[in-house]
Amino acid sequence: MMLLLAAVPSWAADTVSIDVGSVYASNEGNSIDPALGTIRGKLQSMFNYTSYRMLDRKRRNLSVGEAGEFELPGRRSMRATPLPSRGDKVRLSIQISDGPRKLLATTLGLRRGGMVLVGGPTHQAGVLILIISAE
Amino acid sequence: MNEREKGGVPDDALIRATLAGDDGAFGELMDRYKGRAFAVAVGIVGDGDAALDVVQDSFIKAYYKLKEFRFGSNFYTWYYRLLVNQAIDRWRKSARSAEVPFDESWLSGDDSPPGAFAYPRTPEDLARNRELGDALQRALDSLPDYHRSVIVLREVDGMAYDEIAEVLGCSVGTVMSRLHYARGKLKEILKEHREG
Amino acid sequence: MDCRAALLKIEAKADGLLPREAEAGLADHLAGCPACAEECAAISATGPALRALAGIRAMEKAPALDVMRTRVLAGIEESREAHRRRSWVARWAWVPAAVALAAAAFLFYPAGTDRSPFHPSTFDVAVEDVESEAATVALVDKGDDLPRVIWIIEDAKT
Repeated sequence: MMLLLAAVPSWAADTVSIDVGSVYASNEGNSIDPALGTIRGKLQSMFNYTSYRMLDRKRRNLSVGEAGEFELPGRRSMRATPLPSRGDKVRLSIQISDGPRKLLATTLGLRRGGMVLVGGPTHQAGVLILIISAE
Repeated sequence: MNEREKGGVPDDALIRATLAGDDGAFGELMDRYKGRAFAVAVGIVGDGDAALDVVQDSFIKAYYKLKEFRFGSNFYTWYYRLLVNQAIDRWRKSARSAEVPFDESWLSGDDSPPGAFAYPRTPEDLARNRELGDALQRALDSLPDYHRSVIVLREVDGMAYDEIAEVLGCSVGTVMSRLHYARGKLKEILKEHREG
Repeated sequence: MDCRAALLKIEAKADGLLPREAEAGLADHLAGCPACAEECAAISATGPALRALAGIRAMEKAPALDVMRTRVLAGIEESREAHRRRSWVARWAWVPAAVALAAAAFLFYPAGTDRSPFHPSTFDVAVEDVESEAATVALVDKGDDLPRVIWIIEDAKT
């Protein structure tokens, strides 16, 4: 790890703050969790569910190359690793698993302050939608 | 806005104020009943998070239906009807309801002589006896919806037979027979897990 | 008093419906009948045990219960806004189950096939690669001012 950091330019050794909100979306009832704040309206425009509830929210500060584990509702987990990045972008390696089953492995580039949603895994009577942002 | 004495304002007055546009009055009504509503909901759906949803959704329903409320009748029996229906609906859609076959094998034919009967009376007592808590929950889950509702309304909320009959839309005789059936199932669990 | 009669009285007593004058007779029977005494104890314990169970759940959820008022009033506010928005939104409503079918509109990455970068838009996310062992993954762009969505459609579990 130390060797790797020594080999990359100093700007790539910044920490990235990763924020993951776990939202339970379903058609049971029609309440939208106030904790979702400003993205409530966006969720309602994008999806057809009637109820959205924030189950959990975690934030971790990670260095480039450091893998952060995020436990998600329903036995699932996410591993996020900041990668060396170019310009003002943040690059993230994200893996989402359901026990031993690997549901997703992706590499994303987004701007600091940017957001992406990862959704679809079934949860109770609806689905999970993860709100992932990076600063 | 006038200052309200805590607990001094009758439900009817809070309802009228809500209908006149004062959402804060509805908030007072919610604060007044949310604890009892949660206890009833959790008895029926078996899960804390589901119970929170049920209470939240039933209050929202109550808010929109408030104009149908007949002044002079009891708010809480009117509201409980919404709550119990919401809870039963939620239960029927949940994974738990599909998972529970009624399995009599864990009812023991225990004829051991009675000793000192020690049963849990507080949450702390029950927290110490995890097995009993789980067994009670399984027994509750295995009861038919309306039988479970009756025993929860009677034993957890302390409602009288006629009030339960009003909430569930059935006769007092039906309430009594469902209660008798549900008590029969639960007392076997309690006898099996008593300490001493 | 026989046990049959006693059992009926025990339930009446549990519901506060046993007349005072019948209490002594019941107490005498219970003193001499261990089986009925045990029934009485178990039936009387039902209420406290169920209330204790509800109490545990309430303690676990106390923080959420405390803010119930706020959540409900916010939910009511959301309902009002949603009503206002509904006719506009209906044209753009997105049904997740149909995602897999709307292939023409989306870049589509079935497990194990070749993939190419996803071009960023306002919510500026570049997907460099995507892979899945146990699901089909769709990338969804809902347009201006809305985040990109990576949608996971899990394979049926056997």
